Amino acid sequence: MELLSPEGLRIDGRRANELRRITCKPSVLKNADGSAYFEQGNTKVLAAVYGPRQPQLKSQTAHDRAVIRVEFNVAPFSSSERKKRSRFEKYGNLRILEIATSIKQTFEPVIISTVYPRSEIAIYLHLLQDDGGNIQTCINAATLALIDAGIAMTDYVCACSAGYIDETPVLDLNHIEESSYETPDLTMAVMPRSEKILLLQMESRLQIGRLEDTLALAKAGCGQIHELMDKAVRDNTLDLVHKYTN
Amino acid sequence: MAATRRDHRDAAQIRPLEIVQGVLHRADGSAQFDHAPTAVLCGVYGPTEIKIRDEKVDRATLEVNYKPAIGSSNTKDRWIEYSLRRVFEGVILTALHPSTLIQLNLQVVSDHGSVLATAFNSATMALMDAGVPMRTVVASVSCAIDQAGNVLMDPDEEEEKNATSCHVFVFDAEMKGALFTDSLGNYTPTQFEHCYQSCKAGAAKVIHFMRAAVEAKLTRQTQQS
Amino acid sequence: MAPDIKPVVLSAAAFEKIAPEEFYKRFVQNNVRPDGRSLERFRPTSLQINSVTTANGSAVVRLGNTMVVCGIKAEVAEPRADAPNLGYIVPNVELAPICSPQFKAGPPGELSQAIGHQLNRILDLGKVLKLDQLCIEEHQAVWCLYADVTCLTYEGNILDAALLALMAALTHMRLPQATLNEDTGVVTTSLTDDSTPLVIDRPVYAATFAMFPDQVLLADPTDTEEAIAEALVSVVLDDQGRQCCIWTHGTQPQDYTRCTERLLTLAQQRTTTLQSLVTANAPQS
Repeated sequence: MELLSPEGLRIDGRRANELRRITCKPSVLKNADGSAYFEQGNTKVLAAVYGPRQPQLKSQTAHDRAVIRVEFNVAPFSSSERKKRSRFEKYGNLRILEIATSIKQTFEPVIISTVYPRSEIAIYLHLLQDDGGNIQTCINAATLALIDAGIAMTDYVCACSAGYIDETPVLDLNHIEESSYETPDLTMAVMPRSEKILLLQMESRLQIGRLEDTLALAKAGCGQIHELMDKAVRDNTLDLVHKYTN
Repeated sequence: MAATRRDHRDAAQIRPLEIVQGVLHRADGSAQFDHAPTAVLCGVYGPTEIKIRDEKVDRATLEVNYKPAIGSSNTKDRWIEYSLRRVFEGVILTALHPSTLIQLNLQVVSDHGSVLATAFNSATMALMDAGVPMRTVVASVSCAIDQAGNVLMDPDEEEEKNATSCHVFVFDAEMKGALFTDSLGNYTPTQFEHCYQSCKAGAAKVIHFMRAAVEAKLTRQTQQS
Repeated sequence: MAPDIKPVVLSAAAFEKIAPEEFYKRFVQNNVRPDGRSLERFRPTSLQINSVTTANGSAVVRLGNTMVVCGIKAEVAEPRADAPNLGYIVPNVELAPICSPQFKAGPPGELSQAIGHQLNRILDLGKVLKLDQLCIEEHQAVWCLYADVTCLTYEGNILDAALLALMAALTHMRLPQATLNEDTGVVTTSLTDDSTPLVIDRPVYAATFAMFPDQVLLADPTDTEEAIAEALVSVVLDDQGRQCCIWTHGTQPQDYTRCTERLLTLAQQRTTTLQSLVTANAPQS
């Protein structure tokens, strides 16, 4: 399959360094302490944050800081193949557990957990529709939900993916590009202010000489996402201010 | 209404009932209730110690485990457990035993229709046998409406399968009304009303039978001691 | 001198937590509920069809603060030997911790399984649609429709929301064209313009009521109302107003002879509203 047309356009009509359309909205759920909906192209994620609250499991309590818990849930109708519901698949699904763990590790250095000793911060992520870039969308959604919950954090966490098609570095891969065998797929999460990298994941082959390009492109993507997220947070806060002053 | 049924019963006739209390020796209370040949065995444990996670500080927690006669349990059995729990949570005086667990374990011995109603009756008898305080005694009867519009009381599995609608009601001993209703199929309000009244009459008979069984058991106990 | 006794003033939120029954009684006496609804009023209901593009059919239902998504995936399966031309519909309800802190992570809980099974029974015993239209090739292959209802926010009355989402998704879903290769036994599917919609014989909709003391009916109860109600009554009617299911369970005996008529009238009105909501929301094709 031709992933890049001779004119330099991608399969969904984007240019190589273009993000998918992003829609995000904090404060969408009533029951959660913080929540957000994040849509990146056709990948749709709903995030809910509960906490800081009493830990549900006593054994998972730390006396000097909050424990962060991440649950990642994939809706059965989210992808083209229905996820089997068998007990083994769902709760032993290593891929899902792995994603949850890497998201947890991404947020652990950013959340100032020492201000909430003996408590738990639970992040529930629900993938409603899957069109590639699950991890990045989940991280972005979780960031917005954490901010919405008012959890103390040192900075935003913005995530983006990038890859290489033929000779061109491409930004924000969709499902077709991601699942193509030749396309390397790199996911990166950064703190935009300090430009520190929190997560860097790549499980495919990439020429070492091309790594720098790809990293730079992913970082630029994170920057763009940061602007969008910052705007969403500010708009939401202004909305709240208007609601309370009127 | 002269439809003769597969087992030669009248339309309004309930299958022969049988109650054996105290069949299980390790349980705090137990009973087997037959709408012969359908039979459900129930064992009650409690009030007993509870896991901290399930603890309710102002009342007892009720746990229902239902096992079908054949095969492993599935969502249908969770639905039955949910129905039983909803009813008995209101019937048992749970506030008298705070922070404890009352466990109802039901095992279907043989399934030949009207198993839900039998399960309700069996659980009531087992709870009485265990001496768990209850606000009232409940009795359940089901009925089915066949293609010809006849109301068949206490249907067997064949009648349930061919029915246009099936109805299960649970009544309290004072016959104030239904604690649980499950009517499913295609039916008219008049038919529903008819089923409600027929099952109410049927439940009165079941209550009467339960009373006789308890009386017989108590007489036996006093004679022995 | 008498000590200066100040009356205890409770905030409304504290009052609701300490004595929910009394709190509700005061409201019900004035024919209003804490969320501002009158007793027999349903919450604002909205519907969005086929917004999940990865599913064969989908519907998002908002019922006040209860929001559910139903996604239907069609998969090819082998028919049962005793019913060689019948397909399957497998409804499933998921209540994950994302929708309310009262639900735990892990395997599906009792409520989600009970509601899922109730949906299954309504479809099956209510004869909502014929399963032979899911046949691809007798004895060989049939469609299995997995209908997964995921709750996103939970504020009570999950049955009404789930059944509406399921009905809307079934009504507007399209079945791919499928052909069985006789030699290889492989089914090939193509989602083209001539894909077929399902024929729904009997669209059914639920209306749930919470019974309060003195035969007071609260339509479309929230989760707090469900918890303190004497009983919950779910009435399922079809588009012709015929009864399909009455499901009640609760702590106090209810004598229907006194309120059946009111229940049925309200359920009838609700069914008409929902039916027009589903037909009006047909996706543009």
